[in-house]
This record gives sequence, structure tokens and C-alpha cells, in this order.
Amino acid sequence: MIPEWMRPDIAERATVGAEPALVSGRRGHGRYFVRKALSGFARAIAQDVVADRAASAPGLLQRIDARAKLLGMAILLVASTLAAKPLSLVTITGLCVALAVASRIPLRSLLRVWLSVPLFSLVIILPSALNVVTPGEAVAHVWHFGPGAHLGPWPLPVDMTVTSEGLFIAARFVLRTLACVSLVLITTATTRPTVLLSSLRSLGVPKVFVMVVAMMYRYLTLLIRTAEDLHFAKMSRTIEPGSTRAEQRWVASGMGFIFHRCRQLGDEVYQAMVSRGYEGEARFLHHAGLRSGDIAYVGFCALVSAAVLAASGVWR
Amino acid sequence: MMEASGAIFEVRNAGFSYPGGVVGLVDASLTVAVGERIALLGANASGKSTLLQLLDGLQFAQTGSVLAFGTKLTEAAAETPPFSRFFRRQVGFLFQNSDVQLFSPTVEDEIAFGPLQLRLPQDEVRQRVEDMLQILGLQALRDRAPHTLSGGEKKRVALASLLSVGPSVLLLDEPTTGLDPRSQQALLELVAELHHAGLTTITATHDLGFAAEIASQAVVLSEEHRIVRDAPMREVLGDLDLLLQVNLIHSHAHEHGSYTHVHPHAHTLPHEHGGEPGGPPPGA
Repeated sequence: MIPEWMRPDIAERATVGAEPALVSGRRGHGRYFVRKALSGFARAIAQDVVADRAASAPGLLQRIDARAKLLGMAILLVASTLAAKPLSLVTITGLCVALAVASRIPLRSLLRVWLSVPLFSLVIILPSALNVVTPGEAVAHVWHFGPGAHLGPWPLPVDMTVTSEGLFIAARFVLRTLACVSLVLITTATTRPTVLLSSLRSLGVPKVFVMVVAMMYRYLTLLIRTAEDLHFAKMSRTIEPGSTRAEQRWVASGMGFIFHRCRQLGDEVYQAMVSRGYEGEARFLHHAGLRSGDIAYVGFCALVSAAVLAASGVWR
Repeated sequence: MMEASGAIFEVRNAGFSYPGGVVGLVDASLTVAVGERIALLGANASGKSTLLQLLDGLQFAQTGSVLAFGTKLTEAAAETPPFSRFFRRQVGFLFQNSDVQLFSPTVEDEIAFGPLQLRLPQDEVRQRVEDMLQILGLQALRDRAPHTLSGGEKKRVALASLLSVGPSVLLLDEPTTGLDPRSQQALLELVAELHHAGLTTITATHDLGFAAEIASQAVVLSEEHRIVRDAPMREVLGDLDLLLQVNLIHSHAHEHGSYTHVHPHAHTLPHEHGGEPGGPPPGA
């Protein structure tokens, strides 16, 4: 019944392992972008699980209600944005570190942010350190344009220099970014994403928006897994890797499939919602009231913000 | 349009085709009385899920009609209160794919979704959520996101999300798909208990063993999407020709010592051995 070509080739099997050319280790160049992208997505999902674990660890911020944490973060973010003195920004960042330690957030994650964020913000703000953007006292010489130099219609100075005023602005920008990112990090690392989303409602974010974002977050994971399965199914039947063009074609058809699945899923989810009485209006369970500890946390954030703004002379 | 009748559902010559002309159901007639335990039996794509969707007012008959609680199920009826709310409160639908059904951020939100849609007071919603978490042993999963649950856990949460609405009718679409034997048994016991409490259950499945345990009445759909038998489960399971014809069992050849025989075969149906070597065994 079974055609001859389907029978296992015992002779061929015997040669596997004895033939070194079968395990050459040669890798095609530029053909592994799909695998790389998908393993990146898989890492993101794994990160989600790690975040979930950190959010349920016993720590100071984990005990605070998500709404209080969001409110406290919002107050401190405003203070960080308005604070003019670098010392104020260092104080807020220092507070974040203390809270991170008390909440058992792995300092590795903080360090990772501190190493990457200043670098990117520095690239953005660097031109403002030059006398072309911020005139002031020169501390370093960069380029000599000579008299009468122009960039299009704009006249250029004789010398391009780094100014002390420009350096101050750049340093303050980097510190501000660092303080803001640290604030967001300690809040998100100690709160489950789902709880954080539902708490947005108490800050006045429309219910429908919260529901849509929550559903997007929920089904993104499912679709990433579908994409991963799709790739694994192909990989398990791939004997000879195709050309980059063939891989690109496969990616395009995979995207089409995922898009189709997305639409199908959307219809089915809507049916499931209708089946349980959904009539177009999002309804949620009301949260219990804030406890004294939660209110104290918000008060503490407000106090720190007030002190930071007073020190920066915002109210003068 | 209300019609006087004691039945929960009356399906009269209902037909439905999907866009593109894909036939879902042809000329189906069926009556479901209060407290019945019905299994919709049929091969893949025979129309079981389509029939369940018609009964839940998610799709609507294009020919014939479907009446629920004496009211004809039309798009207008299914979307207009007070009937729509009454109907959604009475009928719960367990989808085959639990991921479709679990769309809320957490297990707690999922169970609360239905009662909230029915505008129940917050305290009552909370009480129902607590009851469901306890009955289905889901307390430890309360704050978990659905995508982090196992297949069995998802099915339990999906069931809890239906039961929290307090339905009198449960429509179950292939409820054992993807469940391990222990989870299947737990589901079976729960559904049996619910039926004992007075719920009407209609279960679509092609698992004859599961069907025999979960239902007393069988409605058999053919591969031509028609209802070909509506009879007590025992009678249907004894009709091997019918089960072969609708592709619920297959012919199976095997050897007994010196002779080989062929008989209809399903892993859950008994068959007898004996007779002359080489000849058909009794009961085949």
C-alpha cells in the first residue's frame, strides 16, 4: 500500500554521522531574520512572565494599590518635567533607586535602563551644547568656520564651540529623562500590566479605550505564538534553506495569514462578547477604596514633588 | 414575535450558509425541552457548531426559523431589550476555542464580565465571582492573565464566565477539545452536577464516549449538514450502520488467530468476537 519512496532508507541512515560533510555548520547569510525576529518576540513574552513574577514579589511598592502608584508617578513626573535644578532631578532618581531596593526590583533592570537611556537622550540633545544653538562661555573648541561662513540662509559663527550653558542644558535634559524613565520603571515593574491597565480608568482614561488596549495586549501574545508556531512548522520541514527572496515571500504570506486570523479572531471574540450580554458599552467591576497606606504613598509623592519644585524656584 | 410553546428551542426547517456559499446547515428541525441533555453528534464540519450558533442567536436562520423561549430569533430580537437581556441571561455558550472566550485582562474580570453586562449590582457581581472562583477551584488564578493559563484552566475559567451569568441552558461546543483525561472527567462531573441542578445542556461533540456520558438524547448530523436522527442516546449508539454512514465510526479490520474480520469500530463502542474463522463475527 505504501509507495516505495515512503519506506525508510536504511542504507542512507547508516551513512549519517559517518559523513562529516552532512554537519558542515555552514550558515546562510541574511536568511535568519525571521528566526531572529520571532525569538525577539518570544523573549518579549518571556519578559512578560518575569515582569509578572516581579510584580507579585513581596516588596514595598507591590503592597501599594496600582491607582495610588499611577497617581504618585504622575505627580512626580510633572515635578521632574518642571524642576530646573539638576540636584532636584538627582533627588528624584535617588528616590526611585531607594524604592526599587525596597521593592526588590532587580537592579540589573535599572542599570540596563540607565546605560541605554542617557546615551539616546544625549544623541538628541548634543547639538544644544554647541554655541550654534546655545550661545555662552566656550569650554571646548570643535570647528573653525572662519569669518562670513553661512549654512544656507543662516550665518555661522567664526568658531563652533561647546558652551558651559549648553552643557548645563544637555546634562539637565539627560537627568530629567533618567528621572522620568526610572519613575515609570519602578511603577511598571511592581504592577501587573493587566492591573495597571484597569487602573487607568480611575485616572479618567475612557473605559472603551482601556478595554481596547487590554484586549490588544491579551491577543497580541496569542498572535505572536501563532506566528512562532507557523515558523516552527516551516522550520521542521525545511531541509534546504531557501533564498532570501523566498524567505521574504514566505514572510509576506505568513503576515497575510496572521492578518486573516486576526480578523477571524476579532469576529469570534465579538460573538463571545455578545453571547454574554455585551451591548456596546464597556462595564467593569468597581475597585475597592484606597487604604491609608495608599493615600500615604500619594501624599509622600506630592510632598517630594512640592519640595523639589520649591528648591527649583518654580513658585518664586 | 412570541409563540405559545413549552419548549426552550424549536428549530423548524432551518438552513444556513456562510458567505461564499459554504453550506452550514440544511433543513434542520429540532425541539429542545426544559431539562434535556442533548448531544449533537456529527463528523467535522457537519454543522454542529452552526446549529449551536443559531441556537445562541449569533447567526440567524436564512431559511426556516429558530424559536427560543417562544420568540423567533432574528437579528432585531437578539439585539433588542428586554428579550435580548432575558435571552443572554438564560443561554450560555462555551466556545470550542477558549482563547476566543477569554478576552478580559484577568480571570476575575472575565467572570465578572457577563453579570456586569446584565447590569447586576456590584455587590452581587462580586458575590458571583467569589462563588465561581470557589466552585471551580480558581481562587489562585484570580489575578492571572488568561494567556498564562493552561488549556484545562482556560476551559474552567470559560465555564465559570458562563455560569456566573446564571443560565438555564448551556450550549457546549466540543468542550473536551485539548483537555487531558483528568480535566475531561472533571468537566463531565461538573456538567452532570449542573444538569442535576436543572440546567438544560446541548453538547456538540464527535467523541461518542463523552457523548454517552454527558447526554441522554442524541441528535445526529450527516456530512451533508442535515439532521438524520433525533433519538435516545442508547438507540443511536446501537445503530452502527448510522454511525458508519455519518462518519462517527469507521470499519476496522484485525486478526484473531487464524482469521481476519472487519467490523465497525470506535474506541468507545463494545463489539463481540466469535463465529467461524474467516467469517463475520456476531454483531458486526
